[in-house]
Parts: sequence; structure tokens; C-alpha cells
Amino acid sequence: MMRSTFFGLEIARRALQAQRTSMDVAAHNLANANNEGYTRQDAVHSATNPYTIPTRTQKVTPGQIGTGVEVTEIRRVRDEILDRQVRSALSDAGYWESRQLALERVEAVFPEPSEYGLQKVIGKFFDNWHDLNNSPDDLGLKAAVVEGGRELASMIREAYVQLEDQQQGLKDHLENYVVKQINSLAAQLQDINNSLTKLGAAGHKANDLLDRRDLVLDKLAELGPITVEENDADHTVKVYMFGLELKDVDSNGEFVSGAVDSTDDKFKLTFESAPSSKVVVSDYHTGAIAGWEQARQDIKGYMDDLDKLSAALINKVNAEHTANGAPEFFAGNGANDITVNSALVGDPSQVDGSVALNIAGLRDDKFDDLDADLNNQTFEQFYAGLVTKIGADVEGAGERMAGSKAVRDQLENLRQSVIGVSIDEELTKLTQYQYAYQAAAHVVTMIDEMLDTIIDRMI
Amino acid sequence: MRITHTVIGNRMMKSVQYNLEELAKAQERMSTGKRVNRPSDDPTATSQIMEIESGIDRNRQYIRNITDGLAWVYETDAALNDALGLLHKARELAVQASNDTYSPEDRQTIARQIEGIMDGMEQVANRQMGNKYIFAGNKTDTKPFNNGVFQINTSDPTFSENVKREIGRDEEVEVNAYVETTFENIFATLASLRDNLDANNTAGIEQNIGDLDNNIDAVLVHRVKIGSRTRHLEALKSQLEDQEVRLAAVKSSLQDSDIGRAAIDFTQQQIAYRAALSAGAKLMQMSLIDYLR
Repeated sequence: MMRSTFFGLEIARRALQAQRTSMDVAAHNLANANNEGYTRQDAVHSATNPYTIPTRTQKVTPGQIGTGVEVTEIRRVRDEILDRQVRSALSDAGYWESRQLALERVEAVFPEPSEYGLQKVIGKFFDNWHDLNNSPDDLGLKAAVVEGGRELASMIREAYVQLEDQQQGLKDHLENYVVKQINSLAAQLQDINNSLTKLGAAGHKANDLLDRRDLVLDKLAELGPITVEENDADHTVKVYMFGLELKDVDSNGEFVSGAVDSTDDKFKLTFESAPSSKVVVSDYHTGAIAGWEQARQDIKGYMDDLDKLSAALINKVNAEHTANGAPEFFAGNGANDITVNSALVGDPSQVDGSVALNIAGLRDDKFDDLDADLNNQTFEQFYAGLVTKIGADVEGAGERMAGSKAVRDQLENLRQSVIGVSIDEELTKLTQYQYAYQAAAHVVTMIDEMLDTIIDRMI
Repeated sequence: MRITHTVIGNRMMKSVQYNLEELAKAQERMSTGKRVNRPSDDPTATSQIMEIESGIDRNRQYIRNITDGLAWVYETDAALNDALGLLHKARELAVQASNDTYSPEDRQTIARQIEGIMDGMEQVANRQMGNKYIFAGNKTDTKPFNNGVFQINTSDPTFSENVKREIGRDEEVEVNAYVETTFENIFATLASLRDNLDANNTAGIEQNIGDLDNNIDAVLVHRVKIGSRTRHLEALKSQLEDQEVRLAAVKSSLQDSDIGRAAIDFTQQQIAYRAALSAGAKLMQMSLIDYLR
């Protein structure tokens, strides 16, 4: 059986086209070498269907002759299992990173151990009372006691206000920015899903769109724990965050709403797909949202401690100072409003020197009652305990952050080693394709010369 | 593992960042001279450092209280000594006057001398340290004796007989001598002696000599008490001063950097940082592009 005279030309044409397509894919890879989330693509070459030519010597199995090459698929080189691991690692790292960053700022409110911290001022306050006891009628020392009290009160208030600001900042961040971000990412996913459905119907595989989708999923995973279900046919995804699906939207087009519940002061998310179940974010220990919320709860704990310390100071000092009928020394109820009684500020002579030793002695007393709930510690021990707790929280979060980031980075590297573009590799491939292209072009020239012989010169 | 340029770039950025962080930490330990600069650097040590600082601070206050208390006891001892001198002088005069050879006029002359002693005694009883009366209980701004009568309202709730100094945790010591009755008795004896001298009552004078002996004993009891407290305070002061040095040493060992070690750390981190930069820079330069036509 004879083949067509022009058969070889067709093979060369297919080869030229396949090499050109492959060169374009390599160029696309090179162009996106630094694109975050880009997955390298690979032109898959397959031989086209061969002609079957039966021969006399081969009775059963016919001999085949190749018909050239075609690019059957532009493959996206991706590992779905790694993706899942990376997302989980992103959630963990997000949790510890956001918690550590928030707590690190808290630590700055307490400049300890140093000459300028609250610890020193508490000590100085009681030292002033000792000095007053040494000269109980000295007006200058009475004024010093009042000033020492004012310095102590204002430092406590200042620390409390700063904690309150940070707590409020985190609350605003969670209620506004975080909810908006989830909604925006969920809306992007929905758009991508819609496009994928249309393209899938037309039989296309949209590699670059899938990259965008995976990037959005990564960003979502950083915020909170997600699970992803991918439809094998059209590659659309169902996404579950905190176990609830991001699917339905309310009248404002929002998938999720969130607010700090005024009854228990916890941040809760409500998903439109399951409006009755509220997600208490602090029950989770993964994802940046939970990290921020946990830091906010931590800060509230520190504020409570500062409040207890202030209430104890106010109650105990006042009880001693009023023993012989003098006015109360401190006014206020807690860390937010502790001040020295304005009557004493105006007229320090009203400070009662005869009880100075009793007040100075409070420094060494351990308290554990309704007026002073200090867990059987002195003022200074209680405060040192608070500072140590903050320090340990920051240190712990820092270590966990370093650990979880190392895991995340390692997995990211593993993923990059699969999906990342290697410039050397692409350049090598380009060279290979270039040679193949030149070779195919050479085939065309050769066949052209052959045909020239047959058609033009045989007459 | 397949290595791409992105992996190399990421690793380079991360290791440079890590080394720079460590370098900054080493630099901080060097420049502040402290190993613990914030609670999270070492929470356990922070708690100990704060405890020790509060201990040092408290010690200093105790030392200040003791120094002030010592001034009180020294001054009180001196005043009581003066009172004793006057009492001995009065007793001497009383013994002279009880002598049968003395005429009523002689005794009247001695009575004037006793009045002089009474003035002197009143000065002692109103002795001030700075502007504080040392025999007024805690009402140090009120003159305690006038014509031998204690002036201070002892039923005032803010009044206390004792002037106390806290010299240790929950340890208070009285640094004054409370002499209301002792001195009132002395003034009563002296007044009685003067009157008996004026009245030429020798039996009364004999009686007064016995009273003066009792008065001298009463003052001596106060002096002994003050003397033993003085020794206690002096001993405690030197003990606290020693303790402060020791506490400061412990604090330093917890908080301060070992400068030698910090310097070595710093140098090592510097080397690591340089190595990361240099290796990264060289590796990043290499590419197939250099060898393609």
C-alpha cells in the first residue's frame, strides 16, 4: 500500500506546531517565574493516531506507521495532597503569628524589669509612707505621699487604657476587617466557580484560573481552618470554614457576619448557609482569626488582673487611712478610674501620719479576700505574677510561631519544588524545542526538494 | 527534591532575616548589658528579678528607717542621761539639805537651786530632735510638758504612745521612750522637794530622797531598754547592708549579660549573617542564561 505523496509534509507541519506550542508554554512559565501561586505548566506531547498498514508477512498484527505529534494537554503540575497539608500549616502558622504579634504589643505596656516600671512605683509608694511614719507630721512628706499615690494611680490607669485600646483594636479588626476579608475571598471563589462551570461546559481546562483559585484558598486557610471538596468534572470547589459551608449569601451579598457577643464577650461568626449555629472562634486554636480572638481574651485577662490589683490597693489603703476618721486616700473602684482623693490632693495636710506605718506595712501583707482578691500574694508579687504571665504567653506564642512557621515554610518549599518554575529547566526545554523545530523545518525542506525532483524534473 | 529559583530565593530571604534577627538580639544583649530586657526574654528570671528588686528596694527603706530610728534612740539616750544627771544633782542637794547643820535659810537657797533643776528637767522633757519632740509619743509636733504636766490628749484616736519604725518584714521596733508618768513623777518629786525645803520639813526631804531614788531607777529602766534597742538596730543595719550587696549580686547574675559571651555570640552571629549573604548572592547570580548564546 502506498502512502500519499505529501504525507511527510503533514508530519513536519504537526511537529512544527507542537514545538511552537511547547515553546509558548515554556515562555509562559518563564514569564510567571516570580508569580505567587503560579503553577508551572507542561505541554504533553502525544503521538497522533498511526496508519495501520497490513503486510503480507505479518498476518495478524499489522505494522504501524506514525503520523506525527500533537499537544494533547497543557498539564498543570500540582500535588493536591500537598495543597491540603500546606493549607493546614497556613492555618496553624496564622494562629500563632497573629497571637504573638498582638501579645508582643501588650508586653511593651509593661516596661519590666526596669527602673521605670509599675513594680518600682508600687515600692516607692510604700516607701513614702515609711518616710511619713518617720516624721508623721511633716507636711512635705504628706505631699510626697499624695504625689506618690498619684503617680501610681496614673501609671495603672495608663497601662489599663493601653490594654483597653489594644483589646478594642483587635475587636474592631475582627468585626470589620476580618469579616470583610472572608466575604471578599468567598465572593472571589464564587466568581471563579462560575467561570469554571462555563469553561468546563465548553471542555476547557483553565490552568491560570485554577491557580487564582488555589491562591484564594490559601488566603482563606490563613484566616481559619478550611476543608475543600473539588468536583472532578469541572474543578469547581465547595469550601467549608470552621466546618460550615461558604455558600449562601444574605441580602447584602455577604456569606458571613461576625460580632463580639455582648453577653459573654466572645467573637462569634454566623454563616448564611447555617444561620442558627454560631461559631465561637476562641474554641479553635488554628487560623489567624482565632489567634486574634485568643490574644483579645488574653488581654482581657490581664485587664482583669490589673483591675484586681487596683481594687485591692484602693480597699486596703482606704481601710487603714480612714481608721482614725481621716478621708479616704484613693477614689475610684478599679484600674480605669483609680485616683488619689481630690480632697487630699488639694490639702495634703489631711493625710493621716499616725497610720503611716500600718499603710506601709500593707506592702508585706498577702491578701485573699473579697476586698483584695490577690490569690494570697502581696501587691508586688501579684503584679510580678501578671508580668511573668504576659512574658510567658509572649515567649510561648513566639516559640510556637517559630515552630509552626518552620513547618509551613518546609511544606511551602516542598510545594514550590513541585509547582515552581525553574528558569534553568525552562531554558533547557526551550533549547530542546528550538532544535526540534529546526529539525522539523529541515524535514519540510527535504520533502520540498524531493517533490521538486519528482514534479519538476521528471518530465 | 527539585530546586527552583523561587525556593532558593525564599530560603535566602528567610535565612538572611533569621540571621539578622539573631544578630540584633546579640547586639541588644551587648549594648544594654542585660540578658533580660523584657519579660518574654526569660519569664522565670523576670519574676525572680522583680522579686529581688523589690527586696533590694525594701531593704533600702528598712536601712533608711533604721538610720532615722538610730537618731531617735541616740537622742533619747542622751536626753535620759541628762535627766539622770539632773536627778543625781537634785539627790545630792536633798542629802545636803537633810543635814541637821543646815539652817532654814540655807534650805530656801537650795530650794531655788531645785527650781533651776526643775527648769532644766522641763527642757529635757521637751527635748527636740530637729523640730520633733522626742517624748511626745507620736504627736511629735506638740510640746509634751508644761510646768511638769503632760499636755497631750491621750484619748485622741490618732495618738499612740509609741514611735515605731519598721525594720524588717512585719518587724517593728519602738525607737522612743514613753516617759509620761516617769517625768510627771519626777516633776512631782522635785516640786515636793522644793516645797519641803521652803517649809523646812526635814522629814519630807528624807521622804523625797527615797522618791528621787525611785525616779532614778525608773529613768534607768528606760535607758536600758533604749540601749538594748540601739545595739539591735546597729547590728541589723550592718546586716541589711551586707544583704543588699548579696542581693544585687544575685540580681546581676540573673539579669546581666556575660559580656564576654555576648561579644562571642555577636561575632558568631555576624559571621553567620555574612555567610548567608555571601552564599545567597553568589548562588543567585548563577543561571543557565550566562552560558546560552
